[in-house]
Amino acid sequence: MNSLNSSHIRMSLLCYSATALLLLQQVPWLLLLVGLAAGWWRLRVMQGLATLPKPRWVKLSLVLLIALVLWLARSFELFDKLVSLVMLGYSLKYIELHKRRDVEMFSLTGLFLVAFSLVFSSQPLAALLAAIVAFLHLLLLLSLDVKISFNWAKRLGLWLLAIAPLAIALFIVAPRLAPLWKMPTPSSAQTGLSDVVRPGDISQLIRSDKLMFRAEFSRAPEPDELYWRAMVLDEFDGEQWTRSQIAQQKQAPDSSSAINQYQLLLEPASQAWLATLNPSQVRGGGANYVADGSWLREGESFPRQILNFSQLEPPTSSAVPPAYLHFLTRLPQNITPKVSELSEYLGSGLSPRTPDYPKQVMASVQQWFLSQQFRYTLSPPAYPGLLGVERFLLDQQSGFCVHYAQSVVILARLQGIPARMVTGFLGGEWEQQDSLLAVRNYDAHAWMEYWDGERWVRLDPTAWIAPDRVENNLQQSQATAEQWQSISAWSQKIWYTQGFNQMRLWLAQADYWWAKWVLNFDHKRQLNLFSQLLAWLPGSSLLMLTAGMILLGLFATVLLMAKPWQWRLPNKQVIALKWQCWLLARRGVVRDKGESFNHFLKRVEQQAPQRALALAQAINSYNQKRYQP
Amino acid sequence: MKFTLLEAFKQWKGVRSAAWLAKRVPSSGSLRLTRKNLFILPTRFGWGFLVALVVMLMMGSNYQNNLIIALGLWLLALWLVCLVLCHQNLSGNTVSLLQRPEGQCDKPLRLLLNIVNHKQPHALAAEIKSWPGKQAYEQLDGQLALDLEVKQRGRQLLPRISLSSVFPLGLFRCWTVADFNCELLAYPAPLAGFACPSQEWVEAHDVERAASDSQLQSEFAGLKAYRSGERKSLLAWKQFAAGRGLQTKAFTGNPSIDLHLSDRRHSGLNYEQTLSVLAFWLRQLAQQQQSFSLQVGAKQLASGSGHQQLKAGLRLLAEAPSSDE
Repeated sequence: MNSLNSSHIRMSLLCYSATALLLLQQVPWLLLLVGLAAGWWRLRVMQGLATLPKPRWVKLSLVLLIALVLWLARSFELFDKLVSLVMLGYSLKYIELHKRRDVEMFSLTGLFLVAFSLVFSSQPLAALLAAIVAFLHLLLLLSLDVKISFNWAKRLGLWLLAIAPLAIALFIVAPRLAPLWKMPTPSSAQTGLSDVVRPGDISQLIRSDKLMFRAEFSRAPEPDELYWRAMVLDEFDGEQWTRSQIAQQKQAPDSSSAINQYQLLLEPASQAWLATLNPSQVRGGGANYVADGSWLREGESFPRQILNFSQLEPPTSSAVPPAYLHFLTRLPQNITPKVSELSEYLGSGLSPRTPDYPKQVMASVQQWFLSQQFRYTLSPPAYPGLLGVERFLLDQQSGFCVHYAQSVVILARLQGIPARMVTGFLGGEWEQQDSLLAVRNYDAHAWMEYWDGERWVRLDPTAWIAPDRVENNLQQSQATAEQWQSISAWSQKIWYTQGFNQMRLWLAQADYWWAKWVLNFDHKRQLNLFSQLLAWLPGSSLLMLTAGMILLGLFATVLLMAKPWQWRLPNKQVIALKWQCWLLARRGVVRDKGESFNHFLKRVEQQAPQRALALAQAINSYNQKRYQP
Repeated sequence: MKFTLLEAFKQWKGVRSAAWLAKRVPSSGSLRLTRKNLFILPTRFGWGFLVALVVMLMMGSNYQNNLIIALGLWLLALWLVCLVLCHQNLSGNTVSLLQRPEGQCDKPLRLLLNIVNHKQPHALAAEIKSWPGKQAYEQLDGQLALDLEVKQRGRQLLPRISLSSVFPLGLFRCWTVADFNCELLAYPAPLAGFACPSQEWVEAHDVERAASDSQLQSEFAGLKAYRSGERKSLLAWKQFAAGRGLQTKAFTGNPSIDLHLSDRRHSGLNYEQTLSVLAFWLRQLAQQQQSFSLQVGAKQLASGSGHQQLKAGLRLLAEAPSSDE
C-alpha cells in the first residue's frame, strides 16, 4: 500500500506529541509548536480542507526555521542543538508525508529521538515513557500494513514481550565498548553543591528532593559517622567561600586500615566533587584524591556511575605543610570590630602556647554559643558580607548550618587556629535497613574543621544549637519538620506524608536495582557475571557461554512466539485412526477430502478387505470417544 | 560493443534465473507457499533500520548509556523476529488463479487469485515484474485482484506473478513468483460510431427484400416512427439517410432477425479497427438479445444469441490472425 490516509496522519500526530512530551525540556518549545502546526495542517490537507504549500515556500521556510532553531538554541550545548535540529526535521517531515517511505523515515527519526531522550534522563519513569513512545512509533510502522486496532496494538505488545528473552540475552552478552570517540555532552545541568558558597546558598538546596547518590554499606555505619564530606572551602574574601588552588592539587591519599566498605551509586552530575566519608580510599579507581582530603570524579562528563570506597581508620596524626596551615588562618582585613572584640573575649585567659589551645578555644566558643539565644532556621534572613557575620552573631542569632559553620571558622581563624569550612551532606534516608542509604539535595549540610596541632578535627556547630537536626533529617527532626513543610512545594509535601512513604521507598528500591543492574551493567559487571557463570558451569569456555546465552534467549523467544501450551495434543483415538489411514494410503487406498469415514470403510471393504476390520475398530473407538461422553 | 555485451549479459542472466526459477517454482495451477518457493530479504528500509541500529548502539556505547544500548538491542531482536513473522505470514497459504483471465483491451484486465488458508495473510501485494503496462492490486476477502492494463488483443502467456508482503513493519519482503501456466485473452477494445458491419450486408438488399429473405424468420410489417428505447438494430438506416427521420422496421412474429456479421472492412478503417467495430456491435447485439452469426477470417461462429454467444464471438475476434498474415 503506497497511499496514506488521515488515520496514518493522526497516528503520526500522536507519535509526535508523545515525542515532544519526552523532549519537552530539551528543545525550544516554539519548535514543538511548529511541529504540531505542521501536523495539523497535514491532517487538514488529508481531509481536503487545505492545500500543500509550493515546494519553494517549503524550502524557504525550512531555511528560516533552521536559522530560528539555531538562534533559539544558541545558548544550548552542542548536543542539545543537534537534538533540536533532528526534532526540526522530524517536525517538518509532516509536510511531505506522502508515501510509505516518508512514514518509515518519520518512525526511524522518532526512535532516534527516543534514544536521545535517554541521554538526558535514565530514571525508570523516563525509561518507561521512552518505551511507550518507541512503541507508538512501531505501531505507526505497523499501521502501514494493517488497519490499526486495539487488537493489533496488543499483538505488537505481545511480540515485543516475546522477544524479551532474546533482547535480554543480547544485552548481557553484547560487548560493552569504551567510548569510540568523544561525543558532545548534553546539558543535563544538575544542581547541587556548588564550588562557591555564599551564606544562604545551601538553604536553597533543601527545597529540592533530588537524589544525589546512594550508598550501599557492607556494615551498618554509626549514625554520627555519616558526614558526607564533599568540598572544602578554605578561602574567604569577605563575601563568599571558595576552594583555594593549593588544596586542589592531586595527592596520594594517606594509608591506614579499612574499617568499613561502601559503594557509591552516583546520579549524573555536572560537577566533579564526590561526597565521601572521611577518611576514605577509593577501590578500583574512578576518583582522584586532592590535598584537602576530598575526592574528585575522573573524566569530563559524569554519568550515573558506581564507585567503591573503603572507609579508613581516622589517622592519629597527619602531615600538613606549615604554609598551608598559615594560609588557613588568613581572613579579610576588614573584620568588623565587634566580631574582633567577641573573639578576644572568647580567647581571654587561654594561652596559645599550650598544645590544648585549639581545643580550649573551641570549647569556649561552644560555651558562648550555648549561652546565647541561637536559633536554627531553614529560612534565615540574608547576612551579606562581613557585616552580616556580625549581625548573625550578635543581633539576630538565627541561621542555618552555613552561618554557624562560617562564623565558627572566622572565630577560630581570629584566634590563629587553622580552620576551614566543609560542605557536603549529613545523614540520608535508609532505604534498606542499615545497608542502603539515599542522600538527597535537602540533606546538604555545612560544618567546619580545625587543626588541633596534629590532625584535623571535625566540628559541627549546628549540633550545638539543633542536635535534633543532626540526628534526623529535615522532615523527621522536631525543629525543622514544620519549617520544611512550609517552604517546600505542595507536591513534595504530599509525597513525604506517611501515606506515601511506603510507596516512595518502594519506588526508590526499584530505582536502585534499575541503576545497579541496568544502567551500570558495564564491562566489569559483565565479566563478573560471566566468571560467576563459568564457575557455576565448569568446563565451558567464554565463547560457548556467550553462544549458549544467545541460544537460550532465542529458544525462549521461539517458545513464547509459538505458544506450545496452546497446542492441543491429539488423543490416542485420533492417532490410531490416522495411523490406519496412513497404512491404507500406502496400499493405494486414499481417503478423499470430505469423504465420510463410513463411506471410506465401505470402499476399504471392497478394495482392501484385510485391513477393513482394523479400520472399523479405529473408527468405532474414535466415534465413542468423540460422541459418547 | 560494451552496450551489446551488457545486453547479452542481462539476457543470459535472465535466461539463467528463469531456468533456476522454473526448477525452484515449477508452473502449476495452484501454488502452496512453502519454504521451498518463498524468498525473503530485508527491504531497503530494513537495511536502513539495521544501519540506524548500529548507529544507535554506537551512540549508546559512546555515552556509556545502557538504556540506549538496550533500546538498540531490543529493536535488533525485533528485526530478527520480523524475519520469522514475515515468512510465517505467507507460508502455508495456497494460491491459485480463479479463472482464465479474459478482458477487453481498454479496460484493466482483472486476475482473481484465490488464497486458501486457515489464516489470512496480511498486506499481500501482487505484481508482474515484466508487464509493460500499468497494474494495480487490491486485497479482497480471501482473494487478491490484480488489474492489468492490456495493450494488445490476443492470447498471451501469463508471466510469473510475484506475490509479496512486507508485513510486519516493512523490514522484510517475503515473496514468491508464481507461474500459473495460464493464458490470458484480450478482446479488441470496442469502437463506437461506425455502422454495424452486417448493416452493409443488409443494405445490399432492399428493406422490402430483406423482409422477404428466407433467413428472416419473421415477417416484415412496415415502418413506424422510432420511439426512444427501441432496438437500434431495427432502425431503418436507409430511410434515415434519405432524411425521412428515424424509423424502425417492424416485424411480426419472432422479433429478432438473425444478423450475419463479418470482418469485412469499413472504408477508411484498418483491420484492427474493423475488429474493434465488430467488438462494439457484438456487445450491442448481445445486449438486445439479437441473434447473430459471425465470420472472422476463415473461422465461423454459428448463429446464436446471449452472453455465451457474445463470449464466443469476442474470443473469435481476440484470436483473429492479424491482417498481415
